Amino acid sequence: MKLISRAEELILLAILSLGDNAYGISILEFLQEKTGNSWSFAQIYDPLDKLTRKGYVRKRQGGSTPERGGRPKSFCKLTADGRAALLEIRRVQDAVWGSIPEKSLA
Amino acid sequence: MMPIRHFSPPPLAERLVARALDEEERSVRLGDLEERFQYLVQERGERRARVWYRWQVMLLVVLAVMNRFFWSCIMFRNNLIVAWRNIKRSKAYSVLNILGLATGMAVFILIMLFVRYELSYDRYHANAQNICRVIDESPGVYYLGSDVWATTPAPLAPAMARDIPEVIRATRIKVSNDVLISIGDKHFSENQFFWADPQTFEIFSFPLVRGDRSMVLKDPFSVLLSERAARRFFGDADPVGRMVGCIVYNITSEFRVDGVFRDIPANSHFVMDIVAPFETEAKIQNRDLTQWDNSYLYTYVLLRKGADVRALDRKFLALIKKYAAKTHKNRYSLQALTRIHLNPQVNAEISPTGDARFVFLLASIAVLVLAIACVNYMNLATARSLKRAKEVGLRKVVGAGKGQIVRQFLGDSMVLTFLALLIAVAGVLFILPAFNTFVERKIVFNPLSDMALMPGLVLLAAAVGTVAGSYPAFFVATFRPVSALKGMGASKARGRSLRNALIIFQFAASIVLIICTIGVRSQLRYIRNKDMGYERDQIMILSTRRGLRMNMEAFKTELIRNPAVLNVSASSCLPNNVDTTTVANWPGRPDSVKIRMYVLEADYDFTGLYRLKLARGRDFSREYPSDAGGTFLINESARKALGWDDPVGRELSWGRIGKIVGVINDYHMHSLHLPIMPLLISLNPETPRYVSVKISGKNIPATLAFIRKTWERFEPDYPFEYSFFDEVFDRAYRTERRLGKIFSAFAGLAVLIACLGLLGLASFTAEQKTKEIAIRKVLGASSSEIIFMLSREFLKWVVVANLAAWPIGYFAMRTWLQNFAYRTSLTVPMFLGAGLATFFIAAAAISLQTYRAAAANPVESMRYE
Repeated sequence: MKLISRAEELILLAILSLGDNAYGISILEFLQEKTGNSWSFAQIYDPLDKLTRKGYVRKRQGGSTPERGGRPKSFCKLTADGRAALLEIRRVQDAVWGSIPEKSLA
Repeated sequence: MMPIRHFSPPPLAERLVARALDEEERSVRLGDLEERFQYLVQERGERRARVWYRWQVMLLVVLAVMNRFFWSCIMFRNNLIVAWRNIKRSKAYSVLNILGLATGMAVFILIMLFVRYELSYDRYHANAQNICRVIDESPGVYYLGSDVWATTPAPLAPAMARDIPEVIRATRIKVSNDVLISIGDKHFSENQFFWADPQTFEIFSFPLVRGDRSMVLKDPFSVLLSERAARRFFGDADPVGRMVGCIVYNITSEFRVDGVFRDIPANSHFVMDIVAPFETEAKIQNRDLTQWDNSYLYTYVLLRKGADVRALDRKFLALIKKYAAKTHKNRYSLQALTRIHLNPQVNAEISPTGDARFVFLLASIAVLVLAIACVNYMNLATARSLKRAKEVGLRKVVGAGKGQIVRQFLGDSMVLTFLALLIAVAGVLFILPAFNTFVERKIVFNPLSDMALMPGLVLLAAAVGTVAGSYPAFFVATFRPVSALKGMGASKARGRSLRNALIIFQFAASIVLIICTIGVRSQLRYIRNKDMGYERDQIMILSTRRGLRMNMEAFKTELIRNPAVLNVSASSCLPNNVDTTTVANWPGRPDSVKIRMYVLEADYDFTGLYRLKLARGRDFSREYPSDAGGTFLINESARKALGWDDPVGRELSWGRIGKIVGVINDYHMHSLHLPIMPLLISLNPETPRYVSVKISGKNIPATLAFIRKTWERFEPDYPFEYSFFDEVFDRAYRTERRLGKIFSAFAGLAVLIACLGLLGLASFTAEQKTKEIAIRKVLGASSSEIIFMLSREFLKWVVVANLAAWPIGYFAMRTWLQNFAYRTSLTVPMFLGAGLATFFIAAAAISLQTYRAAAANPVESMRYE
């Protein structure tokens, strides 16, 4: 299995964490909050598109609100493949981190 | 708080991002953006929110563009590879295609270079748009078919500068021919010596390389040289301040070189190399500069910007009324500087002009040849595309859209056209020197340094690629994947009728060009064989100079002593181009009778040398001493125009009053474009411009050497230059000969391209019918029957093309022949000949291919597919 990128990983994690409320803005805010950096929509949409194309993320149209100019939301949900991809990257990371002695980072 | 709707995101940015986003996601993402925008408006104010919004949009757009570019690059690379493989796989077909396109484009580029050059004449002057030349319509003063003259009288320019406020500057330019220039003991003969007012250098953009701009032509005995002339006269030495001796009309004057101007570009209607003050010429010649009735110089004016030229034309009337005599009949008008070159209707030009009709004709031929080449490509590519049906079917099955297929096949044709463009450019570079000599121009082709050219060439290739490639591309894109995969089936017959129409068009165009070739050639043959009424073989022509003019009789006597010289005669012009006209005059002529006559002055031997035939009366003769006092011959047309049944013995007046002693038969004293006009030959051996020497055909080099020696004794200062009369005669039909060559060249090319197309199609059909041919052969058909079967269809279209082309060719040629007063007639064999020629060429092209197919071993063929 090909490994996903760091941005993709973060977005998958954001979606997982946000549960039923994972859409553009909430993902943006989640990432800004957790990383402390400012994120642009382009930084989110591009990996999101790739994840959708790979079949890791499924989208569902939600209702619209007036502050969105009457436009619908699209909620994201992880697929089984998406979960597998997350687990895989975690396994790889753990394996790699595990091989590094604690003191070499100090 | 109410949701705030009056803060809307920046509209332009919103529309931009909407375009950049995929359709599926568009509304969702616009929603995201807007929601965040409204939130930021609340949190940080509208201004910052807008800045944020724009920034986000920019990032998204960049992302979208990069994504799209990335994928199209991948696709483009893929298409290129496929196109290249296709070229390699079917080499013969690709070569035919590329050669056809390259030929068409090379012709087009070449001719467009010519057209651009012709249109560029005199446009390099900073004031080009505001410079005009005064031309003179002298109603009734018809000369060689036109009564518009470029020459004007001397007082006109000063009067215009004085009285017409729109005229900022006016200048007079006079040209003297054959001036002898001496620098120390070196002599140069200068064909065109210019005399001009100082304003010339303010009106035209002739930048000075040396010398003082404010002093140009102010000193009466100063001259300016072009860089070229300075180099010719003085080599690398500094010319400024040096003295130049000039012999003009037998008068020697000394001039000081005051400056050097940059060489005048070749795309100018006059190119001067040496120029002296105009007023000096007038002094040398004792000219009366207030004389309105003598038009011998050129008047140019610089107008104020935006001046109404038509309104100015009317002001001339007031001017003439104020200054000129009541009898002054000339009508002046202004001709834009940039219009001079392409208008051949004006008499007495400084140098020969081009012709807008010729330029237009060439441009149309260029477009025609290019169209034939495009059609060729369409034809071949469409036929060929059936072979790629499987590829297209597969592409469609795996999800290619129509647009993608169209793009791919357009890409194919682009690749081919750009390859063809390279070949075409190389071809143009190769052929340009020959073409330049041919059209007598100095066209430069440098695609790398010419700013306008490179984009033009790319645009041409792109346009050709699109035009030629679009039909095949759309044709292919409509293949139905299922039938395409099954092996064409349904699509077999499609596109046939269009292909046939295209073949007909190609051949019709070629046939029209062939008919034009035959027509022009037959007129040229007619001219060559026509009895002009005068002798033109083995006659040598010398232009007289000072020494000869003064000692003509001695020169003649000297020459005739050599037995190889049969006859010598001096005359004011040559018999094939009589260039002087007058209104016939005689004692007792009523004022109302105005008969225009051409005048030729000649000595006793002229009619004998040129074998002009006498109809009645007698020739000039030394045996009648009274002849020397003034004697005339007239031609039959003159006799008829005068209405005198027996003119012999009647009096006429030209210079002096004299008797008509004889009438000669009408002969063609101009080119065959013009009808024969009344002619007066006056016996006047004193101021000839030409000497004609009839020599025997034996040992011409020795005779030439003898004449040269004699010339050098009489004209020690001038180099010996001569021409033969038959060459001079031919020169009058230079344009026609050029046209004939152009037509034959382009007709040849057109036929070649058309045959390339036919060849390709024939081989394609033969290939498609491999099995059919094999079966027929097995069942007993002979090779020739099969060739006939394969060729029949194509040749049918060639016949149809003939029927379409004949009327067009007929009208084209009839129109052209109307330029001639004497012309050949269009005959049926010309058309049949053109038709048969194309038919046989086409048949030959096809049978080459079909023979191969027909001769193939049926057993091999049956296994095919």
